[in-house]
Amino acid sequence: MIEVDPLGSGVRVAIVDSGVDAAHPFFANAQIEELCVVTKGSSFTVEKASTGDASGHGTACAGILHRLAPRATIVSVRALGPDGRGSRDALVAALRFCVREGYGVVNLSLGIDVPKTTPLKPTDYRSIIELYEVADDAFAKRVMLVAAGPNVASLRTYPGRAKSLIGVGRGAFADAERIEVSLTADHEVVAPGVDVVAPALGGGERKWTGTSFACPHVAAHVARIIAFDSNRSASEVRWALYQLASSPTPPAPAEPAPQATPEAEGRARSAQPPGGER
Amino acid sequence: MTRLRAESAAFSERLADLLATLESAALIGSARSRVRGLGEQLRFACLAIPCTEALAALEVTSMDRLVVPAVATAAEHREIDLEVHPGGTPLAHLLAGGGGHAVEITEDDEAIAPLRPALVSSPRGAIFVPIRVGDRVVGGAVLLSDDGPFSDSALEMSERLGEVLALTVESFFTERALFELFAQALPSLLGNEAPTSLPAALADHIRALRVAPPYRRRLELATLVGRIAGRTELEAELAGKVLTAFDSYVAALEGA
Repeated sequence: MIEVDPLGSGVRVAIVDSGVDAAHPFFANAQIEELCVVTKGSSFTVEKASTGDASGHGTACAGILHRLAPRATIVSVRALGPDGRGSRDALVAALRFCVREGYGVVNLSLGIDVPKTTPLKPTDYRSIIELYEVADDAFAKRVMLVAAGPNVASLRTYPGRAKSLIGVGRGAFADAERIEVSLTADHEVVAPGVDVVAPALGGGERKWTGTSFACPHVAAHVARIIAFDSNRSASEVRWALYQLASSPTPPAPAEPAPQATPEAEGRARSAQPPGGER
Repeated sequence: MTRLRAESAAFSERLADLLATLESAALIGSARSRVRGLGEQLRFACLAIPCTEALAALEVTSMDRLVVPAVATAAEHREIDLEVHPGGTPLAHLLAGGGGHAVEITEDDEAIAPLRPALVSSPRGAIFVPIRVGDRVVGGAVLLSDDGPFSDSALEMSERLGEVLALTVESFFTERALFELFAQALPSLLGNEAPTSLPAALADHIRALRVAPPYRRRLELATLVGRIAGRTELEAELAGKVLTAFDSYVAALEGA
């Protein structure tokens, strides 16, 4: 059995999405940093900003992560312009920032979907190559990039199908801890992504379905692995994830999420390797 | 020759008016037929997936507003013209490049609040899937269920529906762009002071075009007349005869 810190203590997990509603009661005990991609002429920068969530999607993803790794620090990177529109360049800029900052894990429940029946255009190639380059860079720098695959087999999703990152498909698993290795052209790991209960804008919770919501499950597992031993390489983290996936009964959280008890916090601290946050 | 030149000038005005009428009518008629097609596709989705209601929200004129041109149930589709602000709804995620997803809907849920004026049901589940034209998301399809959250397979079917709707929407956008270009060119074509029967003629021709599909033939004929009229006076005289025949043709269609 692979050893993990079930609370994901100290690991910084970037959620590149629509932002996070940090005021939601679900995040009362969460550590959240809010950042935003900002357009500067024809380029982009990432700045601190409490912009909230434009759609509720990022809040749901962050909630799933927080439930499974309650001691991980959530770094919300809102990859939208002021008009609420995203762009491929903004997405690439957000990912480059996350790699440069050296976050432990990056959750990407966004991507470029292209129908498999549609030939790629020159603009597609440029964006896709940039995303592949970022994914490779992340791999080399031990930033674990976890990205959602397509909802349907007729779509190609970039960068989720890149093999230097961990691509995630969805399964109808009742057990929130369950993950399975399922290596395909579209994804590598399958996690719960059907009727996942997660926070919604307005203060409550709702059920969500889609690979977007499977992705933070895997990001949380990766955070737990890194929290136990931050010296693992990207390959070693992936191997550890495979071990968790093949385990018949994956480890349950040491406490009811999202609140952490002092005992669990103590256990998590004792399991945390030297090196602090990633 | 002088007489012919004078007749030709009047003829040119009349011809320009007629061409404008025909082309506008063809484009408007075509765009409306696309909306009907969109409505029928949404209606089919209600039957096939199945769902209680379905609609498409498209970015037509403004970056921060979407237009809902049609909403459907399994029984019918309705053409509407609702503007919605996507902020705070899953539509915003789609516009940001996000993928499709299914969500549970609660009573008075803010996630679909802007869409409620278009709905007749009280949905408990929704699917939001993007509609992409090229590398750009131009809106989303929204499927709604009164019976609670959608199944996993419904999400997969909906993603495919988004691809099909995109084909219709792409044609719709292309025709709309053509029409807008034409509208911009109209003043220079007619002259700023030129009297025109365009509005009244449009209404008549739209009706005719929707009844009779051969508007493509009319366009081809109009283009031919236009080419001839752009040359010498003798060719203009010939065009006059063609135009007379053309008027008879249109009159016959309208009377049919």
